[in-house]
Amino acid sequence: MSRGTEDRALRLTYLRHELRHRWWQALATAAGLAVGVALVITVSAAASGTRAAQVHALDSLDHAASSSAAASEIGGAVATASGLAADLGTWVAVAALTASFVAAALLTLASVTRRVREFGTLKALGWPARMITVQVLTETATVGMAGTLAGVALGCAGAALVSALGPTLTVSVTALPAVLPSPKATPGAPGPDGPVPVHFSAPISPGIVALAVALGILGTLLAGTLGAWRAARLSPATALSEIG
Amino acid sequence: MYTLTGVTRIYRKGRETVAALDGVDAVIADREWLAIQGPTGHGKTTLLQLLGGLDRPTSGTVLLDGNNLGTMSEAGLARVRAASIGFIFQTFNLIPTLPAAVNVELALAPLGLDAAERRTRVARALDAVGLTDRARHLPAELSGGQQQRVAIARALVKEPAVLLADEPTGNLDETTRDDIIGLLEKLWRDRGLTLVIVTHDSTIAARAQRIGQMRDGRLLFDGAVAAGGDGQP
Repeated sequence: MSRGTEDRALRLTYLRHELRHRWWQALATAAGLAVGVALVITVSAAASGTRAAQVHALDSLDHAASSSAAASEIGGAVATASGLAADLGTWVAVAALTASFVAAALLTLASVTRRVREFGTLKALGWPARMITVQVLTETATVGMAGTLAGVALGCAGAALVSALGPTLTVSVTALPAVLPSPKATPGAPGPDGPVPVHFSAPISPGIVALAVALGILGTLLAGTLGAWRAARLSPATALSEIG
Repeated sequence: MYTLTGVTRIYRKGRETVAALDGVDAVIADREWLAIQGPTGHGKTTLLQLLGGLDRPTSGTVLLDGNNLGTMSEAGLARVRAASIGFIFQTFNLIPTLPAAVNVELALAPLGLDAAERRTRVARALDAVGLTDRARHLPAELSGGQQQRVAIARALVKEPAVLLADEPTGNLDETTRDDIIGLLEKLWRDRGLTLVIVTHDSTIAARAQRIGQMRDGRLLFDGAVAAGGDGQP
């Protein structure tokens, strides 16, 4: 077995014990990241569903209204409202993910700060900065990956819940003739095709999941790099003088 | 082993400067047991940190076997600490989440030994401090004396040439203190270590070969050799 493999085995033992005994800290970091990733998936899926419902509604309107101007005008209004909802959703997702990244980074830094004396001790034992960096990055990556995977599962569950509980909207052209007379429509009567149900769902595409996983990995790397950088640049004498 | 020439360490706190060490000159012989005493805040721990390559002097030189620790790279200092220097701290500094055996084994990680060699050395080190049956215990499950024994095993497992101890019995009761110092003395004799102990305890200092007094950042020797030391570990 190579020297690198041997070192890795010992470091994995270290990691396993760390996670077992500091599980609540790891859980808090993973949960923060999971919430961000889950929100990205759910909100993106809901935004995608909103756009699909909009397309469906516009098709119905286009079919029902004879006046292309009316269809275009009403369709434009629906599209604007739908677009606003989708944009809002995107911003909510971005804000949630940013917040979860910041939370994960702060929790990682807090964990490193709590362990300053431990890292000082490792330096006194002769651990070079590189080994300490790898140790902190490995710990953060493990927690981050767990958080990201949990976030994907939560996000998919959230999207499925939105689809299951999402309302079925009815698009009707009943009132169109009163506003914009149409030769095909009779005032007060349903449109030629009757009310058109538009079911609101939140479909998950592989692209959304890939995006969420990529963002989760990015957040993990950011948090891990910050923590590892802080741990590696500690002066051993200063670290050992910290009150643990 | 060590040659210190004009070693000064100045700390800056805002506009104030504090000279923790102020021109220390000393030679510490190979296999010597030196005790360093002195009031709190007079530079004992700073001196120990410089001997261990944990800090660098502001001026002057600290030579370990001819190598200047003050000008060595960080990676070079880490290699020296990994191979040649064992530390023992007052507060033990064991990693609380790791069993005793893993705490000891961590000291071997930078040396790149294979797993079988590591396990053999860890077992031998724990046996030397009488804790074979506590290998799987977490530090919180051990008494203060046992924790310090684990820390001693961790310091010795790499088979260093130098052992630096900062108030190793400061957190222990008298009986345990005597046990720990007896153990250190035995290890010093058996293994031919160079042992430097910082201590407030005159009972411990009296067992060393030589006692240095830190006063206002200066290291003073009275030249007396204590009764316990014969210079031949």
